[in-house]
Amino acid sequence: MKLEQQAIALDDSLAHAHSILGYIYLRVGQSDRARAEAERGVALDPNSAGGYLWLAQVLIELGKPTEALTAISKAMRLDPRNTDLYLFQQGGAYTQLGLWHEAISSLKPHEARYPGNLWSHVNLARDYAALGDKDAAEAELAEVERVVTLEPNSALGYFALADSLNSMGRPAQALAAMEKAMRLAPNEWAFEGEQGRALSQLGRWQDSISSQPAAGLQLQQSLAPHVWRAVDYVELGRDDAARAEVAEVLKINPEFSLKIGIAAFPTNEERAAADLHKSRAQLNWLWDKLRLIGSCLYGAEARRHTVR
Amino acid sequence: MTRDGNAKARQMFEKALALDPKYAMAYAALGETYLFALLMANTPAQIPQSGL
Repeated sequence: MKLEQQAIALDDSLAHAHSILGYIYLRVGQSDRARAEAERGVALDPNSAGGYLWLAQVLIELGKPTEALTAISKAMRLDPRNTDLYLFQQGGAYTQLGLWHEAISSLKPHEARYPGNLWSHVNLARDYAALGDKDAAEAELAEVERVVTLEPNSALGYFALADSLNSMGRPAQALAAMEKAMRLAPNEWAFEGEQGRALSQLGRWQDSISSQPAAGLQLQQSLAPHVWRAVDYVELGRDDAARAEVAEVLKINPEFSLKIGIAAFPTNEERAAADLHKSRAQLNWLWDKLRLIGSCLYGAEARRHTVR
Repeated sequence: MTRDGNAKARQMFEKALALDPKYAMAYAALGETYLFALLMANTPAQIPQSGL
């Protein structure tokens, strides 16, 4: 961070430095600064595909997939000979929108061109699992496991493995993987969300909430932990707290739909649907907003997952 | 990009800065090599993404 700040102190018009600094701010949990710097990067050099790529990555990690897709489109237009490079971020944005088929269509060619990208396999496992294609999801999981075997001291490797296992409805194994990840990198706050997801799926509601301190949630600016906690609070009968979590989810990503939330809980889809539905039903103004934004997706899911 | 390539790039940017301590782009690029080193430290993967 200091080097990028030094570069900017010498030349504030250095677009690349602003873009890199944006991503660094994101990683240290300063989301407002992250977005501002990434946007400054593309404002200073609107012809830089790389600038738009960094902006897209920041937006994805802030839960803004539609804006990320716009940035990715601009990057692809500026750099049409290397469009495969940008398909990873495009796939990630589609995954966040619950557009599983589109995500796979983006990630598969990226995976073929850049086979070393572990996170392509993680995202593909998630997409295939959401579509119910277990064989394809297993194949992606095997790739993740292969990387972990090659690098057994990789905290991020176990984190990636836990993500895939959670997506495929194996929370006990995911929890074991997360324990290894957290032993290897005990101060990595970004790991807590995945641990909470496993604990939620195991029905350990209070443990899930306790595993994600409020300070960590603020730093993360990721909507996922708020989704797990909404379910946790509903299960514990703490509806006010659940509503607050759903409000946070919609503040981060107004396009969030039940379809996406349900896919995160493959072990107990109906219960998760009912919990999210219950939280949301009590928030009329948010309900109306959601209905306007995602009526097609939401309507289909609401019919399939009737609240009992 | 490889870890070795990133390490070599860092050496080049450090040399550039030794020659010209006010070379802003070299500071930015040197910082980028540290960022990539962090991202590649634990895994051959690229950039992790948030959960949903």
